[in-house]
Amino acid sequence: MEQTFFSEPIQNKGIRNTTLVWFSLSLVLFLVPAAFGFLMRSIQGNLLQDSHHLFYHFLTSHGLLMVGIWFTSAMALLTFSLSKYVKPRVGMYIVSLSLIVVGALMSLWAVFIGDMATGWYFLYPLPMRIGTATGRIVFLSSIGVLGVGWLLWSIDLLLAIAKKYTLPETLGWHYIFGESGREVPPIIMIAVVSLIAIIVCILIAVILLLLYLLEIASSVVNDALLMKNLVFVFGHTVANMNLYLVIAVFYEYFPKFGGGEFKNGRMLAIVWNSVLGIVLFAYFHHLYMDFIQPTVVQYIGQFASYGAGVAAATFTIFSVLAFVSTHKMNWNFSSLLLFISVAMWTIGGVAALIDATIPVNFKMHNTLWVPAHFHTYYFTGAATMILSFMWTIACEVSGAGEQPWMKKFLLPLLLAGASGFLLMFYFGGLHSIPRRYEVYPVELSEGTAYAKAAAYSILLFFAGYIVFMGMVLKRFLRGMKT
Amino acid sequence: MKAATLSAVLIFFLAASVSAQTDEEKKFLYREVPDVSIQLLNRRASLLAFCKEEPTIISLAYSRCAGICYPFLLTLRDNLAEAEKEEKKFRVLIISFDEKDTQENMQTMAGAIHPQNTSRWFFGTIERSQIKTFTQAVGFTFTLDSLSGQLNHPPIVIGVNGDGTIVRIVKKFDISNNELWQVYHEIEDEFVPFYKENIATSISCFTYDSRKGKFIVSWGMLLLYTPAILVAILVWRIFSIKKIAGVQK
Amino acid sequence: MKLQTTIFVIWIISTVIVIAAFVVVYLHSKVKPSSITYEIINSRRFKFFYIVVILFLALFFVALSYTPYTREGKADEIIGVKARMFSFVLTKDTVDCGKLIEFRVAAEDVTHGFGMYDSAGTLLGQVQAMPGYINRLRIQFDTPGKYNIFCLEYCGSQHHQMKTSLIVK
Ligand code: HEM
Ligand SMILES: [Cu+2]
Ligand SMILES: [Cu+2]
Repeated sequence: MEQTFFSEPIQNKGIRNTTLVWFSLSLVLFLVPAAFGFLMRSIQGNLLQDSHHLFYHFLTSHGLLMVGIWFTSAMALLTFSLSKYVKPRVGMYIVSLSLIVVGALMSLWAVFIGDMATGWYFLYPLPMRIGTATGRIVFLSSIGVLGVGWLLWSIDLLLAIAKKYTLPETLGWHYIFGESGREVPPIIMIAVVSLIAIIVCILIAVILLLLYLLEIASSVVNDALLMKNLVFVFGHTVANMNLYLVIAVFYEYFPKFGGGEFKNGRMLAIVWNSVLGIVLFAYFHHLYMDFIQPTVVQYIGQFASYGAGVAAATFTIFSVLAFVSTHKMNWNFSSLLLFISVAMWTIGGVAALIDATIPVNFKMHNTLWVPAHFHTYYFTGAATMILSFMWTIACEVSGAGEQPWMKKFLLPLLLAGASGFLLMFYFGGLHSIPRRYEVYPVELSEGTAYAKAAAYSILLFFAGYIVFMGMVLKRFLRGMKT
Repeated sequence: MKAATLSAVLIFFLAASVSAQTDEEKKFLYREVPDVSIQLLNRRASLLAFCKEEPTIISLAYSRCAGICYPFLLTLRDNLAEAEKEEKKFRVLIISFDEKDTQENMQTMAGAIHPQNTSRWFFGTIERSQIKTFTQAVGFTFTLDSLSGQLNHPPIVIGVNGDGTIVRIVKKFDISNNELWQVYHEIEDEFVPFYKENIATSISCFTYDSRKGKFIVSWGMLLLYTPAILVAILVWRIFSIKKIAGVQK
Repeated sequence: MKLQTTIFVIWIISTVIVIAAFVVVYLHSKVKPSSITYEIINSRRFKFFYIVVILFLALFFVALSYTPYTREGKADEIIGVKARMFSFVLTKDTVDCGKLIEFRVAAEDVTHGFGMYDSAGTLLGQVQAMPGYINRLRIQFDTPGKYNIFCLEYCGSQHHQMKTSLIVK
């Protein structure tokens, strides 16, 4: 291997091995919710009759585990990459990861044994009405445990950064005000912005959980609108920050494939500071169909959602295209996969912005258009970026390079499988097929055919993924021994 | 003072227990008022036809009541007097659900309430055999106290719009001005953007002042945005730790 | 063309543009670096930024005038809707063609969704049914026929079976 991107992080044995252990675990763990996804499409496509009654359990667990796994992997990737500049504590890293594993197992228990098939954003008051009493407590506690894990971790990363940089520095204020100062790499700035937003939404989740506990312990009844607002500040923002965490790392490493770098600067700093300002307002688009929410708030939601779109389009995406078209890129499996995931993120982002438009949302909300767009930028976007970084790291720690057939066959196979799966969701949205339906009613029977086609596509993707996973795991194992 | 607190607490619990019935109330909304015949002080009428003439507020009361009826009707009267100042045009119909009530009784009641604008207030009785039809249609229940002979019941306000459709039913011990104003707006088909049912919930993001037509931000909103402020402080604290020597170039 | 189709077409066109842009850029990266440098392109970012901002602002204001939120004015008829696990109760199940109908949607137990589908299975509009609140949805039916109402918010094990219908005469 001529390229060594991660030479400094790899030197730090504690951080490296913890990261590799988590990455290995997450690659395998991913198969669980992925299998649930396949089972869901099979049930909807009438390919499976026996596990019908488990559909909503699969749905809930799939959503929670996927968000949990990829959020954690993004944090791990960031921690690993940041260790080039700052020193996160290995102990805290391990503690947080352990909490997260415990939280994930608890949520699995709560969903399948405690019968808490609430959907991943557990819309109040549904969790109060279904499942067993123990299941309810375990479910809410699992969210709490995950929250604590992520919170400790985020604080530790911020502390590590704070040991080296001042707050105004990390937020790039010296660029904004045109003062001279130390150079701050974009990865630090974006990480700080994302971590701050993450801590805010974890605190909001704490309030949400406390309100639930209050209701369980006393006879107080909560306000459904408030609870919905709380759950979406948390859910929306966590999912969004998952992407930003990856983007932070992306800014650092993607240009290296072309032998350049993305420098921090005035505009970039302005954009990321405004992201910090608007990110907590975009979630309102989840409540467009609650007409009792004051109309101004709805407009703010649309404005903030568009704002996030403008920032992404004119900075990250523009920069990537400008950079690639002017540099001689080293197109290997990783860089190609990264480039493709930026395209997927863009495509999903367009679909998301369309849906964040109130009159469109009126006819698309809670149809398959929603899983269509978020899988595009989450699954084939953010998660795929993480997978491609895993591959780079795997190659570097083991010293084993890639095989030429990976680019020629594996990549197209993965892409074809994933795209087929996604396209069926988009078709579902076109035909007003509701999301989260175990069986499609006769009036909407097109849904069944799309689900069937999606199930077959997923198998294609799985075939490629298993090969990929095997190759990464082999390299990780070799890397951990050295 | 103590008594006041105590009764406030009591009213709160009563209200809480009654408000559990709101699910029930919903069953009776958005349907036409039942077509029972009523005897007003000066004429007989069909209730439906009467309501279709103009938006109407109906309340149920009975003349022998030693409890809530009179105080409640007096509050309603004063509140309505204010609404009339703002050119709300609707009728008020007080009908008895007590079989024993006669025309004379209702006449006396009208005298006792003594509304300013008599032309808009109507008192009357329901055809005896149809009382049950009516009370069932609006979900109104009462019990007979065999000792005192009194009928125990919550106050009720039924808002009927000009089409004769029941658009609001408020039925509880502590009907607030705000709720009455919602009824006034509603029956005149004015737009009420915020529509919360009477469920005693902990905290919410907004409340709505129906009289002024304004949203009021309430405690729930604070819950949404205090974390941001807390985190600002936390982050500030985090970044004020000592920098590692040497890196600050 | 129904809105869903328009949206789908817009999305497909954007997707094709995105893919084309990425492919062109990809091919460009393989040839020898040309005279256009990253810095030159970077200096054009502002132009791009303004175009995007203007586009989004225009879209924003256009969208505002088509929101489904009920404002002033009176509907021709009110229909009460109560959603509960796992059925809808409507105060009326037949309406006249051409009348502006206002659905007042309430929920008894958990949050449900009220989604109005025409007989061809196209979603005409929706609103949430949230416990404690009443949401108002106004729809004018221009063609007679049978319309289906499906639950559009996950509400428990029988969510997908929660439906009813409305006849427009
Ligand atoms: C192998 C890849 C995947 C497959 C086959 C898959 C499949 C599915 C299916 C069938 C649904 C339910 C759609 C419906 O509402 O009818 C779903 C929902 C969902 N998926 Fe995936 N998915 C995959 C990857 C991912 C990834 C990578 C993420 C996140 C990082 C993710 C997050 C979610 C979430 C949050 C939901 C919503 C759950 C809910 O509605 O409660 N999925 N997925
Ligand atoms: Cu439902
Ligand atoms: Cu449902």
